[in-house]
Amino acid sequence: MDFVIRELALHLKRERLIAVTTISTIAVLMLVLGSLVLFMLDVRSLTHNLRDVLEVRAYFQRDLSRQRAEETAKAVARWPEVRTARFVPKEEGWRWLSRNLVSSSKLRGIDNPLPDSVTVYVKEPEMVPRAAAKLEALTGVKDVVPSASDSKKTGSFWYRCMQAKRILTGAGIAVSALVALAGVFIVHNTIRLALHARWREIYIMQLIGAGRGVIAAPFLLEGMLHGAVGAALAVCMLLPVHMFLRSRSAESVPFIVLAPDSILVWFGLGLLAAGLVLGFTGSAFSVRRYLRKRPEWHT
Amino acid sequence: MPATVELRNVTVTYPNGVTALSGVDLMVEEGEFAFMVGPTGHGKSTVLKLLYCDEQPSRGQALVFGWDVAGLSSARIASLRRRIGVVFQDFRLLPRTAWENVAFSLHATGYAYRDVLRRVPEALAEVGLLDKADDQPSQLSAGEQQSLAVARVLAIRPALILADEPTGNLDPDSSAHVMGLLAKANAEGATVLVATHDPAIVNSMRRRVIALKHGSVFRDIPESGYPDDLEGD
Repeated sequence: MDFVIRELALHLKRERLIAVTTISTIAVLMLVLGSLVLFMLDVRSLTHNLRDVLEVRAYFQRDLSRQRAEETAKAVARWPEVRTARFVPKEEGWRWLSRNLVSSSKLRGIDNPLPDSVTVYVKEPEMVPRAAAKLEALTGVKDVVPSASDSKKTGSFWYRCMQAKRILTGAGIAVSALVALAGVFIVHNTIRLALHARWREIYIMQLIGAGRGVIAAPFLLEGMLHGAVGAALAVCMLLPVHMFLRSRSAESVPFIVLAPDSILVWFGLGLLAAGLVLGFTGSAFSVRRYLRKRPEWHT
Repeated sequence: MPATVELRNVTVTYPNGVTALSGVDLMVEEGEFAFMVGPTGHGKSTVLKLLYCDEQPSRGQALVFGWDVAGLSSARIASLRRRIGVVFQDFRLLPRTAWENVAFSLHATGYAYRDVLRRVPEALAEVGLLDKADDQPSQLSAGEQQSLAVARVLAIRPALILADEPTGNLDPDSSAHVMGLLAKANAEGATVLVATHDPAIVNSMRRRVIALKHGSVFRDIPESGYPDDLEGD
């Protein structure tokens, strides 16, 4: 291991210019890759947030017993499109109404006119119309807000949004894969140059019986280092920009919630890991091809 | 004595159709010192290449330490090479200090750092280069460069030393010094096979001489000088 580290240090010292060029190119690629991934994460966060906001409320008939209403709410919770369904007794609904919508002094002395209800949150925004229609069809349900016809209008909008999200995600993944492939080729070429530059060392190592692992390890580490440093630079540029945009959007467009810190941590670690994998893959291709050749002293 | 090197009816034909060796039978026993002589291009280097697995026989068998070199896996070749030291006419040193050249071989073959620290000065002292440990090969004379190449081989204590024209670029004094180092390694137990077409060093040492001509063994004489009838067709 000591030998591998020394050789790696020597490689980096000797080929500083190549290293700087490779790292900066990988950083640019990772910047593109990272931007795409962040965009996809933001879209995901946005749709998740919408999912939490969009709800369908079904009001039961006033003469329906509390027990039946609760059983119906439990059955609704098991529907495949439903994420959660919460039974709201009429007393709780009244409390909420008096606290949030109407001045409590105006409601004083009035009997609670609200029925029991169930509040439903769906798994995906485009599922709202279907859930509303199913709720309307239930026995004992008097009213559904929004109604199936209303939610169909808004639902088609969400459906188009979700379709756009899916297309964007697919395109993002495809472009990301291309960018990653370009990164592999860049590292592959750099390491190939490095291998050419150090054919003497490699030849002598082969001649004295050094194992392939010992010969390959410094080059693999070098590729991984290039990938990781390039990725780290990209992370250092992307995260502050994203955090700034997030704070600005929270001020001006509060309903747009971009990817939170917990996701950004994973994003940073993921991009670093991608840099390592990309560097390793690129250099592994070069080393594998180079070591297959017969040792030869180029004079 | 068991054979360190054995060629059984070996023929080597290159892809361009040139036959470098033709039906060669040869045996070098453990601890032996032998010269392989002959004009340039008559198969000496090919024999050495076979022995350090840089070439494969087209026909016949080449055995080193009892291992058939044909079809060895890369891991087996590496393992075999760790027991062989090769010295070349053009030294094949790295553009690093003398110390680092020797240390590189030891590190690359898996020696622990403390063993490297012990063995490098020993090997450099053995060839008389300890005071030039920090010099680059370009700062050394041709004789010193070859001594350094020998030090690199001696450091890993190989059981078999193959030398391909080791004195080809050296003056007589340096040649004698390098051959003395190889003879010492042989006295300490290494099997040594030296390919050369320099009659002076062969005549001065009077060891076994294997003469190759047109890719075949032309003479195999124990304790001999350089055969007079070898040059010319």
